[in-house]
Amino acid sequence: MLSISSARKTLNLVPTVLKAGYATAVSKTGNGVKVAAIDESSPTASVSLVINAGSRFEPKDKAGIAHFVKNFGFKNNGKRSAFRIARETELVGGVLSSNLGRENVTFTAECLKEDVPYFVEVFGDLVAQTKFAEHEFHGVAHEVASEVSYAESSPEITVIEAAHNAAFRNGLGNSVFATPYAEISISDLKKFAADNFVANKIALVATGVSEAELKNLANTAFSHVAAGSDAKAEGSKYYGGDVRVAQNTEAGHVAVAFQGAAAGTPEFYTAQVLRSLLGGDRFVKWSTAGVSPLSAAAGKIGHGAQISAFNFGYSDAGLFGAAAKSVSADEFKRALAQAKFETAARYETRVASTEILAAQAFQGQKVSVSESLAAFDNVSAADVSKFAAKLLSSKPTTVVLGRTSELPYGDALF
Amino acid sequence: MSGITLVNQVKSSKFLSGLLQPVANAFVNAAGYRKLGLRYDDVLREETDIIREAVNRLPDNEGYERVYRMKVAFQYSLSHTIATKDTALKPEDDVRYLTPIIDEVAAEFAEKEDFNNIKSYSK
Repeated sequence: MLSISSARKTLNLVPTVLKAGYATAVSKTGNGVKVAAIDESSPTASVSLVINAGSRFEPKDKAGIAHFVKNFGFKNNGKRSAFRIARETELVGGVLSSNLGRENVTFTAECLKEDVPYFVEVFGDLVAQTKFAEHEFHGVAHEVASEVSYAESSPEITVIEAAHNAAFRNGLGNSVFATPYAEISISDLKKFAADNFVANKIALVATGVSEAELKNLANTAFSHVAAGSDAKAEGSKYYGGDVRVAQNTEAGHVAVAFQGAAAGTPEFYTAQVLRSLLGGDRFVKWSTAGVSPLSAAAGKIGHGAQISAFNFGYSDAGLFGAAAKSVSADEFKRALAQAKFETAARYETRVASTEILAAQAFQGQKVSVSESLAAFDNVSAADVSKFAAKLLSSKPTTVVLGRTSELPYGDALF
Repeated sequence: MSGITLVNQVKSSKFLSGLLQPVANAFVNAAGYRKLGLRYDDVLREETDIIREAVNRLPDNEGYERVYRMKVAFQYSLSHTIATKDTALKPEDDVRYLTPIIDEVAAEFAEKEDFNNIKSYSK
């Protein structure tokens, strides 16, 4: 079954899957493609091609080109037509998907172990020989337009994109979705692919395959990929600021964010702990109020209010904050103050760091594979409160969406 | 498009092509489509699935040029005239612009037929 991942997936942090945690191995092929595998004993495997060509790397005048690139995965290439790839995948019972994050575009194939060589070959052809045919471009442009209109109609997505844009401006601030004014042509795509589909920007990541076997396959499949220059990406700078989006929604959406921590740093784990402490996601269905401060606050507001904390970590920067959907602005301000007080109060009563860890684990919060529990052993309650204080010292990014004449300004909240 | 062809043998043999190329040129002149300003690929019968799809895939500018040439030819036909020697299409402009696209589309259609008639068997 051929499936292309829909817009909602683009907000997931693409996991830096193989840092610590499971027994993994990371190596490189001859021309510099990174290869990593987790050898689980399961009948199915999944292979992912991760290319460092997310929205962060879009040229300034070609906003939205990464979105087109994501939708051009598995289209006609020099060896196989798109039709053939789809039919052959169906015949072996695989599932194809593509996902776009701010730093990476990921193409994934989930299949049986014996079909991994086939999909590695397809990925090699995708990188080296995608045709970017003119007649396919019209179809892709339609797909992109429909995903963009889905994003525009979703206030949650709009708020997060606006928060990133205000916080980082360009680079990480580029929206993951194509802009409505994007003027992208097929030759732009070919140039973007030529610049970014290079060996030092590509990683092949798999589960259910042994590392040695994957490296062998990658060596043959990616042998024709250009090496690529060693130019470093522009560093991220955090700005902060206010964004107000006027929309005719009944519920107001407010998000407040601060400069967070880059993924994989010790501070990032602290941020994760803080995020789950603040909580907000309800794990017991139909409960009116959860235990954590944000969900308690949401419960107090009523009216179907939802507040949740988010923590985005990228390679050299992060964004930490909370997003709220509520009907009344005053109540959100009250809830935020409440959450701050309760969180502060909790730090003082917490007995040991192990309690923090337990709460994290039992809440079923998605602990991504990359984080091993060992990293959390280093997070203490003092770290968390220190991190929270540091957060509040950075310039806040405030996004307000809805009936903006009735919703508060950023500096009124703090 | 289908059938037995000796084109490659003729083209690679100097003797045969020296013999047959002038005959081919005379035939094309006698056919007269160039005197209406048309290229060979404009004359192909486009009411088939393959060629209709190929014409759809033409780049925009080639599509407009094609339509313009057909308009000019239609005008010639209406006025019962043909182009003079210097206004007729030159042989170097008689480019087979559509044939590569037709071959591509034909290959895709054939591939689709193959996959639709695939027979599977257990090992």
